[in-house]
Amino acid sequence: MRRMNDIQAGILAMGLVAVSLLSATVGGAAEYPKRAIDVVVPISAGGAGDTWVRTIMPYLSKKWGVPINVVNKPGGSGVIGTVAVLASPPDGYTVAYDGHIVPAVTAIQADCPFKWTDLTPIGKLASAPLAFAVPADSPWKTLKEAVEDIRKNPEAIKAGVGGVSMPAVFALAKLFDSVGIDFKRLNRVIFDGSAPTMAALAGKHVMLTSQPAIDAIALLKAGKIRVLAVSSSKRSPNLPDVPTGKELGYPAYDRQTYGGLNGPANLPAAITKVWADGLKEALEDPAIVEKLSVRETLVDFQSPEDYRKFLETQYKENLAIAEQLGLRK
Amino acid sequence: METIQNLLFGFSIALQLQNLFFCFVGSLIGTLIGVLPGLGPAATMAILIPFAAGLPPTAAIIMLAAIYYGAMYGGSSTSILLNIPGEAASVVTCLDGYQMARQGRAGPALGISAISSFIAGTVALFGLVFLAPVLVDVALRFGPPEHFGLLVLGLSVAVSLAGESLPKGLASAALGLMLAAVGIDPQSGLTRYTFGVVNLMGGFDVVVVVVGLFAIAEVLSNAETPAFEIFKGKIAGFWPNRKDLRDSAAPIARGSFVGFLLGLIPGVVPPVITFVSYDLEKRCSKHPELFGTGRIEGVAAPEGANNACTGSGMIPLFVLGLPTTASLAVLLGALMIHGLQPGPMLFEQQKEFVWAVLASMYVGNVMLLVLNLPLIPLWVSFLRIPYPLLGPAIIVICVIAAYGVRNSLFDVWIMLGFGLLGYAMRKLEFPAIPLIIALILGDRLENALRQSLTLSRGSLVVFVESPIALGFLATAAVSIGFSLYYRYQSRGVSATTHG
Repeated sequence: MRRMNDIQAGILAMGLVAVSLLSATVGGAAEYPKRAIDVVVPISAGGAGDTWVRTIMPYLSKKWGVPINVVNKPGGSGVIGTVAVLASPPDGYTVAYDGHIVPAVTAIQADCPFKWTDLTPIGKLASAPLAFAVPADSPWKTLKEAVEDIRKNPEAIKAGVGGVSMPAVFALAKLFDSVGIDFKRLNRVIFDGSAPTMAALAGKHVMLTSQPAIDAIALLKAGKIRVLAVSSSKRSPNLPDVPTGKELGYPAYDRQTYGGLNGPANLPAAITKVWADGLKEALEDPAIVEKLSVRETLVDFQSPEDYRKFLETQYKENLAIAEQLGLRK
Repeated sequence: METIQNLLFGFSIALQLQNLFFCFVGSLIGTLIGVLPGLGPAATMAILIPFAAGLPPTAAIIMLAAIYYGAMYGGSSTSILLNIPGEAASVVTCLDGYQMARQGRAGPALGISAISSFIAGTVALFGLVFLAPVLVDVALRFGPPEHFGLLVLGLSVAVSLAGESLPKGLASAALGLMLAAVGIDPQSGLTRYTFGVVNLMGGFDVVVVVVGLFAIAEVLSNAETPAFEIFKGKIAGFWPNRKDLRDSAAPIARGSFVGFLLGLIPGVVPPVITFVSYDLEKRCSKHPELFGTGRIEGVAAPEGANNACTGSGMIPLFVLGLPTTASLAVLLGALMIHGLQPGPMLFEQQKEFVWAVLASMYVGNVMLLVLNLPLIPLWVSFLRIPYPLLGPAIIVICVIAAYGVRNSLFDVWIMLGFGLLGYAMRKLEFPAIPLIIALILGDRLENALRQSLTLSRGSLVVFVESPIALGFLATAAVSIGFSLYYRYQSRGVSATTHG
């Protein structure tokens, strides 16, 4: 048995040498990657972002010939896992997944142990639309009706929100702000995640919510809720009858959930490039596109530079909203 | 009638060789991860999803579901044998199960837990086939005030399990509530009681705390006694005897019923259900004072309840796409990867799939019974290992468990710290259970309370307006009242006998 392992290790080593020689001649980043990589996911195994990572990483592991371990370090709204990556050496062997964690917690927590600029953006992977949903027997048939009605008496409106740092809070705040309604005046009920929020909506405990569209589809089909708009720029293939916010004249309803990868501070550009090129290629793989699309997720690759700009915009918008709502402390 | 036909049709698919095989694989994996604390069913299922994606949809979901309910079977083994709960849902099984093991009755405890799980699984299957679609709408009526009522009822259990001294029990519960508040405030997203320590932002994980308080403290206090006295007496048989079965019949039935109903409600997690079930048994028993000393009812009812709720949780998942637990959320993801969109149409459009999965749950329950019963002598024989060897081995398992929960070394230190706290609490005769109950329920209770008060703009009337919430709160009040009355009476009795 011992000998077998040596032989296997030898073959593996030769293979790795061959691969690295090959990449040396082709790409130039000869050194990286040569050993196992940890992708730290700061949420629990099984969450939407976790499945995205687990869908994409096997492709890169195969391509690079090194194991990629998906390590879940949940807790503290994602701060714990992110801090763990920030404390690792910037050698590309520890990278962090982020799904709206970084631009949200840094905007809400004035004492957050890191700034969004501490991270080195590697690339955006995917995004998924939110759905503006109301109970099936709600008097609001369109987003316009809802907005006009809310404007009359915002205090009487019970809005469900699936957690303070979730994109949904910022999505609703941004939408209402664009039409001159102060989201702060609505009665905002905060639930622990998307499923409990949708359950509260279906049970008519709240009057509206904006959660990932994926979590609304079953209830929509069951006739428990109505979806008045989706936040993506194009209609969702799974909800062809639901207009986008933009179509309805509410372009501010454009926040989506997203996922991306970041490295620790000072991650060398050569390593970032290896990752970005790898991600771009993986996200063009039809099998991966298909696996993501059934979960109402669209491949949305962004280069390190574009992703940095995206994060900056998200952070600035979030900061303004957090201050307006009095969330930031 | 059509339902029965559909179910039979489901069985015909579930019994196909391939599906049987994956049902077995899932049950086996589930049992194993249930036995190993730290790695829970949700994480295991998530890790296996890429593999399952390569299987036909029916086989994949059959396997993943089997992991889920299999873990509920396996979780009780370490609770009973070593006082290490594999899952938060099997914490309550430690109370009487471990005491039974110490009295040489580990076999009957394990046996009744397997039998109870099996019966509850069966009850849940028939319940969900015939009743559940009707009950789903009722479950949706559970809003924040209703959740709050149920959680208060759960917390009231802490009073009845407070042990000899009520003040000490309440102090323990208060400590649990305080610990539950550590981390991120769920309503504001800000940090609380973390003192700038990043790892504390995640709060205290229940499994980490329980492993320390129960298992480490147990090893520490056992280290004081001569090694051969830990598991007293001979191992008295591997199987439950006739009296055990008779004593367990009603608790199993009640546990299954409670587990099935509460399992339908999104947001009501299995540990809460097991506590409610245990408390119900205590109230139904003629000898409530003997609970916690090794009563078989204290194992039978919660084990039934946690299995029944895994079954009934499938209904909100299939019909509304609402997962009631973390594991079911993963299963929801797996459904979608296979292009199966939950909703009432799933029953129409994917008849074959739905009924095959439901039938497979019954098949899986039979397999788990067959798998688990013969293992009992093996598990029990672990207790023959001399304690000077078993004790350190338990500590190793605890360390692995604590690390595994969140891949965090910090949690290992926390676990060991709680081990010392648990040891001190034993010495000072503070009960640990109220602390655990309060820790499990604390953040949910806080959320439900604050959500309710947000909805009502601060008015407490919201808890009286809802008949369901009012019912739970009244039951909790009666329950606390009875506990206090009983406590008062038994003190009076013991005073006269001693005086």
